[in-house]
Amino acid sequence: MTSFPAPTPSAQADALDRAAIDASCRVPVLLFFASANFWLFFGSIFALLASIKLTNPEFLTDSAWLTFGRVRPAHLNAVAYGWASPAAIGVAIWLMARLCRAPLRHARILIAAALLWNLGVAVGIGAILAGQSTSVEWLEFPSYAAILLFIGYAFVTVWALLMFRERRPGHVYVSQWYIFGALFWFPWLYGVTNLMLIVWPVQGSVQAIINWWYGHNVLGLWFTPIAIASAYYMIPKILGKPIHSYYLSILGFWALALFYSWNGGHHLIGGPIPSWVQSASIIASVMMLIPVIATAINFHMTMVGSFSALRTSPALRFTVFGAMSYTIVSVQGSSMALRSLNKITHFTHYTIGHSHLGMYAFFTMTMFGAMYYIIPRLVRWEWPSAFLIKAHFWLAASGIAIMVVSLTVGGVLQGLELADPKIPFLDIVVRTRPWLHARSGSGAFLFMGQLAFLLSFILILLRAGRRREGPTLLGDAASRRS
Amino acid sequence: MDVAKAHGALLREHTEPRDGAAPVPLWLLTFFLALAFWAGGYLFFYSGGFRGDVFNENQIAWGYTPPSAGKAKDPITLGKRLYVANCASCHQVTGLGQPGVYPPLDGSHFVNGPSSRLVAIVLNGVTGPLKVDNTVFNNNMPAWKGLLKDEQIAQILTYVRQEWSNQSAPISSESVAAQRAKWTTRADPLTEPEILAIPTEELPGAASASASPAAPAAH
Ligand code: HEC
Repeated sequence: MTSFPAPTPSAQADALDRAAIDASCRVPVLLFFASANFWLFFGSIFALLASIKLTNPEFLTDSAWLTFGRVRPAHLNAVAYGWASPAAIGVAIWLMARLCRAPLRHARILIAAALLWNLGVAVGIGAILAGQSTSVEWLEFPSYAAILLFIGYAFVTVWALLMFRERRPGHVYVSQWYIFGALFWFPWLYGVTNLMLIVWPVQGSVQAIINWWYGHNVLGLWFTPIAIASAYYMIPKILGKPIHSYYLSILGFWALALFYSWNGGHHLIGGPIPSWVQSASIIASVMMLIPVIATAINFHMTMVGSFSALRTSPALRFTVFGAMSYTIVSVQGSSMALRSLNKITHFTHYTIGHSHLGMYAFFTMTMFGAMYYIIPRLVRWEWPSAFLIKAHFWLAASGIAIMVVSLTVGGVLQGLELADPKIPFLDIVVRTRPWLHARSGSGAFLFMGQLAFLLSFILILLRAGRRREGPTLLGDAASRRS
Repeated sequence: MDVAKAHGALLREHTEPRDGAAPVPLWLLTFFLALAFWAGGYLFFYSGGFRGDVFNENQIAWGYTPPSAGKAKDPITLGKRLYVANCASCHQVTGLGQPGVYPPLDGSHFVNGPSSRLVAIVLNGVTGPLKVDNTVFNNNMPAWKGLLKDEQIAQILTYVRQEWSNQSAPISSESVAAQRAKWTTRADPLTEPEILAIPTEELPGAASASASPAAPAAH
């Protein structure tokens, strides 16, 4: 394979540089990771409560704080803003510093950002549980919590600009494009939609269009680019190969930037919005095949010949699981935007299956992979237990598989029945129960897997166990990669 | 910091990732072009003419259509809006007026009578005693010719003539324009004798109004 020439300083000097960079990242990145895991724990508890309530509506109804209408948005916001965003910010910070090849400066900006952000999340979740949600999906935090998030995030963006100015001159790697894109897209999305929906609400069905412009872009222009940036770093890094094609990277990046922000309208197909808006969003959704296939080929061709590394490296295994899920969830998403399929799947559990395939199987697994790689370097300690990592992986992988399959099958059946006016609505609701039970069960798997990760995380922070010389690998150490 | 103390993970790490230079496969570019072609076709067929008021993607298939084309304005809807804004404060939304003060429009032989007289009343206003449905009112109605356009008066009167129990023919804006031309120099409101002196000839666009059952007294 041809490749651009590599910089070749001595390996030792290189390792020392990296050690300095990692040391400088330690506090801010671990702060973001720790808070992410904290909220993942609570977000998952809310998820389990909400899931059980769907099959057992009498469960925990005595207190208004724990009714479905509050627990469900509490789940979404805790995992989106409590877990996913801080995890993404932590990964982005570390990747930026590594790829700028310069130690992190201005750590105080990031620490302030982490505190503000987490304060905002805590206030926001509290407000939702207290009944003060804005009731705009994905933007349930009232404006006094949202402003904290916005300022906290702005700090991160400013920091990234400062960091980039201090980089060691040289090639700007594809992961950095994605990180920069995301760090500017998110505040733009979050600011504009909060202003237009919460502070000075626009009128009528335009509200719905803006709402889903945000709801979809927060996935596609914030979480997705960070996870792709991470995979673009981890896969070639761990394998020690160049990424397959610079040209595919460019194609993938710009096609994503071009098409993603039009996708939101596909949540409103059949709704009271002009049909050209719907059609434009359908086209953009299908055109997402371009960045997705370009990225998938790039990852796959880099992996070819090295799949055996998946047996040993935890970071690689989680990352590749995530990257493969990205391809699957995106192709599924493109198909769901088509009017003929959307007619059946819209307003069913199918959509929920799709969103968990994206947010968990793709994004969350990729973040776990990145954390498995980054954290030992920050704390200078190897993961204490390969068993815990294996348990985490298999519980997460089987949990998400069960969840997606049950919601997908259940959702299609539900959609077909809903399209038949002869079947009474309540019968359809009752018939979704077995699938929802399966979903609660799969949620318990995910939760246990996360507990294994949380335990690993706490143990490694405490530098528990004996000092290991080599990496903590999953299989027999055929290759020494971590 | 010396290398020996550096974490083992750092020492066994590969260099930071680099880019390979493999070209984009030709089959992929071809596929992407096919997708773009499909997208153009889809937009062509299901764009609803790029109009803000088309919600059914199958309704209009062929490119852009200006918003006004093909969408006739409904005089009743517009007329009602104008009536509520301009007339209802006196004649009420019910069209029944207020006893002794404002005459009713519902069932009135002026409303359902010859359009020439009706339009003249609204254009110039009325003053002094006026007998509507066997009740004499003695009040003033302001002139509307300075405030409302021909089209708007036509819409209001078309609405008024077809609302409540009224069932008279619509009035076109041309007929209002024709009537307005006759009264341009008139400044004062009309009186009842003047109104009754107006020929009952029908204005263009309201030919069937004279056949209205509510208007025999005017013949
Ligand atoms: C300020 C109150 C007022 C407003 C506003 C008003 N009118 Fe009148 N209207 C009157 C009064 C008072 C009379 C009777 C005048 C008289 O007694 O000489 C009258 C008489 C009439 C008559 C003839 C009598 C009848 O009941 O058929 C018509 C027709 C009429 N108005 C239509 C309208 C229309 C159409 C509008 C709205 C563009 C309008 N009016 C707005 C007060 C009003």
